[in-house]
Amino acid sequence: MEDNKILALGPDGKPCGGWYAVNPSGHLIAAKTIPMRKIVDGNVARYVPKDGWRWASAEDVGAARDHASKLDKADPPKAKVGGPLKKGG
Amino acid sequence: MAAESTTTSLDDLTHSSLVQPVLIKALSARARLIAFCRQFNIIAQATNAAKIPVQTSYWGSANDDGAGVDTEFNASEGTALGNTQVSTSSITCTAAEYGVQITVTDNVGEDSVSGIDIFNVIGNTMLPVMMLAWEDDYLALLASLSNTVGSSGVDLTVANLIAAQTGLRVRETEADRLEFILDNQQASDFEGLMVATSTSMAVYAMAADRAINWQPTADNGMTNRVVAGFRGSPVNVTGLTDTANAGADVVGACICPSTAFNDSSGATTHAMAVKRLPRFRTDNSSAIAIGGRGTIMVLDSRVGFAELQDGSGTAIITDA
Repeated sequence: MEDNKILALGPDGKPCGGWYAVNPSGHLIAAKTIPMRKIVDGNVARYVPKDGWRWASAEDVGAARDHASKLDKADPPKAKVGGPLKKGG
Repeated sequence: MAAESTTTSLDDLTHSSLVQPVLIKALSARARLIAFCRQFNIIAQATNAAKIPVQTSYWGSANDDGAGVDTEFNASEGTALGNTQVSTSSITCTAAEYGVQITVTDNVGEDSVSGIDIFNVIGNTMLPVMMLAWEDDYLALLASLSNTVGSSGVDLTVANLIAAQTGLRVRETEADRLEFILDNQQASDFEGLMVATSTSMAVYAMAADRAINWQPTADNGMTNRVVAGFRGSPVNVTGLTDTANAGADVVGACICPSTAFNDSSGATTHAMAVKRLPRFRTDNSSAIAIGGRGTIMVLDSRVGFAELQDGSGTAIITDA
């Protein structure tokens, strides 16, 4: 998975400087690194992702986009106010 | 009357408009929150990254009902003790490079309104812009906190903010100062909640009010974006926070800023490594500048941000 990290996009649709990751609560976030913890086994130390952290897969990103799209339909973006003649509000 | 002499007939003698010697500033966020980071100075050290050792607990974890110490350190008379291996971990805070370059042709200086020092106007804007880039990279770290409150697609609630703070306490964070960092939308949600009506009321309404302790600042954040105090901690609002879940949500946090006490107790949540302080240079005498008949202005720096203590922060992920 480390080699297949997916570049995260910002609100402008351009890369925002990180990769998609899934946090322990199941949120899809953008991160440059994911938290690691050190495991010491005798005199050997290695680092593994902290519990619940992983880089996102294409399926994760797709599922989050579906979720966001459904939310947009159910809950139109806030602060769109205007008069009766306003189009597309 | 007819044949009056007007600005049309005399348009070679009159100005249709004249540039005034002012520049109205663009509305913009300002970098303020990077001050919450504990700073590590690696200037003049032969590296671009600060390695910060972190203690690893061998006595259990926070809120584990004493599982790490209930029998582990019991001793019996005449019985030899066994060794406990002590280990450490580390955080690496790597400095990235930032830079802004603007080239202004000589013609601009020669032809601009005399009341405006065009080079100062442009040059003075470069530092806030670069620091804004720092701040954006710092705030991107909020999403990397392992502990979160809030639900995707659901507006921020009072309970979310309380849980964000009490989570730190449960994880045994000892801090003399906390800071809430909220996205504009989250602040708007909360300020809306504070004036919401309901047919039901808390049984101990006065106690609830004290528990929430929402204290709006005198100007509601109009000058420095600190909109209120919540349970005794400042609530900072910004428009630079990241989104999560493909834009469905925004990411705020409750973190521990760098203070003498927080640094000492290990509570400070984030670090900043400074490799090169902002450096402003101008060039109007190199071959490139002379060839282009202009002045090149460059502001650059090398800084980096990292998470120091995962447990001393709570990400607040709620509807965008």
